[in-house]
Amino acid sequence: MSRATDRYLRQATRGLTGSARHAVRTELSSHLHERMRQHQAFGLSEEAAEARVLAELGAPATVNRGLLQVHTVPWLTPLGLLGMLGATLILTLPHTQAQVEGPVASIPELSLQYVEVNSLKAQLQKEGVSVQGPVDHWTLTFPNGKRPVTIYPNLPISGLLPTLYPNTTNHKTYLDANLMIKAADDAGLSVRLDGWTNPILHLGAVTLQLGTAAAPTDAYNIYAQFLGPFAVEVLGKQPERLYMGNLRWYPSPIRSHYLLNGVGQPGEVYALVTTHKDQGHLVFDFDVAPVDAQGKLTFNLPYGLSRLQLVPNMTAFQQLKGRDEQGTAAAVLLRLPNDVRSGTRYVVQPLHQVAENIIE
Amino acid sequence: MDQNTLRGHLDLILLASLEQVPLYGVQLIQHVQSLTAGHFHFKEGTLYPALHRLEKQGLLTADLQPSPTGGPPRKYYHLTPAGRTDLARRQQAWQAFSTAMQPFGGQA
Repeated sequence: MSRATDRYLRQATRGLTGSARHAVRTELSSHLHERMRQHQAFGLSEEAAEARVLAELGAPATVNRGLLQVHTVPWLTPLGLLGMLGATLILTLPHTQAQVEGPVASIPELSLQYVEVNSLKAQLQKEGVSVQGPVDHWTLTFPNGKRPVTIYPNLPISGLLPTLYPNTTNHKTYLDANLMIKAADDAGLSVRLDGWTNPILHLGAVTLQLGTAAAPTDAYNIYAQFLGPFAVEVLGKQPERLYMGNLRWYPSPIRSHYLLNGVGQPGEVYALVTTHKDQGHLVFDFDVAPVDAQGKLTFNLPYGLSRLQLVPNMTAFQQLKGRDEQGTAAAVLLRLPNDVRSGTRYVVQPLHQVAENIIE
Repeated sequence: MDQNTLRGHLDLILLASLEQVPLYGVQLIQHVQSLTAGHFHFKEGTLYPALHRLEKQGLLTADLQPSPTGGPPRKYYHLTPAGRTDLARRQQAWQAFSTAMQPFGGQA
């Protein structure tokens, strides 16, 4: 914990004692951790992210005053407290956004692929899509779509982050691009993804280029969504929650590199998936990568195994899932099609040898 | 919308945000900001005293769950049965107020 954070927490919890102080410190520490991760994902350094989060939390004396009123002052009427706490809120109106046509600013954040809402709307309209209503329930009418489709990015709240995200760092709002794919799918349109860096998303006749030259992105978080149906098939049922792990979303100091040769054609996208058990949950560890120009596939997984046992089919993977015997775990190689018109999200690949395996 | 109107209905906004699903602080803040299209933009630290007060009043309960991102545990807030009753009462009061305001220029 940095000195600035420690000072903030001490000032915010001053006057609180015992378990109340500990509980508030834990909650504010969690807030700092979560928000810093988000700001860092949007390009801020660790130091800048910390300064931003502390500023967004507000003056520690103000937070402390509110907490003392709750935790130490004899109980007041709800109405009286509402007035006092309401007075500590600072409200601002949103900034007006300029509309930009062309490539859509796009930022990966954990499992989501955020696209900037105004540039997305401008590009959709340029491509002939009718966009009606506020962004938390846009109704999209695609050219040649079978029906208008309404998206509900906040309902239900799923995953680790909201699929609609107002970023207080740059005052722009972001929407998960995967909602666009689902909307096009629901409208009966074909979906195709071309390229890896700054990929082009084809939703029927509508074309969206994600990422810009100044702020490039890649197709990782879109292909990664295809692994959801795979995990459900492995489990044999739709679980309440899927536990997925990879180095993009959850960095780890321990990692293994795997190199495969002679798989598929350059540009095709594959996933290497294995599993481990953590606190009774089956965690799907995976990485997604395109075949490079030399025909090589390189994957990185978030733990050190002396070797992976690649299995050739779903049945074998289901039987061996979650087992870790003498440093060996079952893994499967999937080809992730870039065209999901047929509904196929993944194809299990026959056996390949891991050419190289390095553990850090 | 007048900022004071939103400010005066903080409890309603927080309780309604938790009606469908438990949320932790950061999620709740972003949920409120999303649903109010950015109008309800506040210093984030000021939300925690409000949540703790609702918890002390018995309208919310909370539990700690491990963070999948490796950070400190997250405190998830849930509506209690008393919280649901209180939310329904506040929603009815708001509806009545909104209806009463219609002759004077539309909904509140």
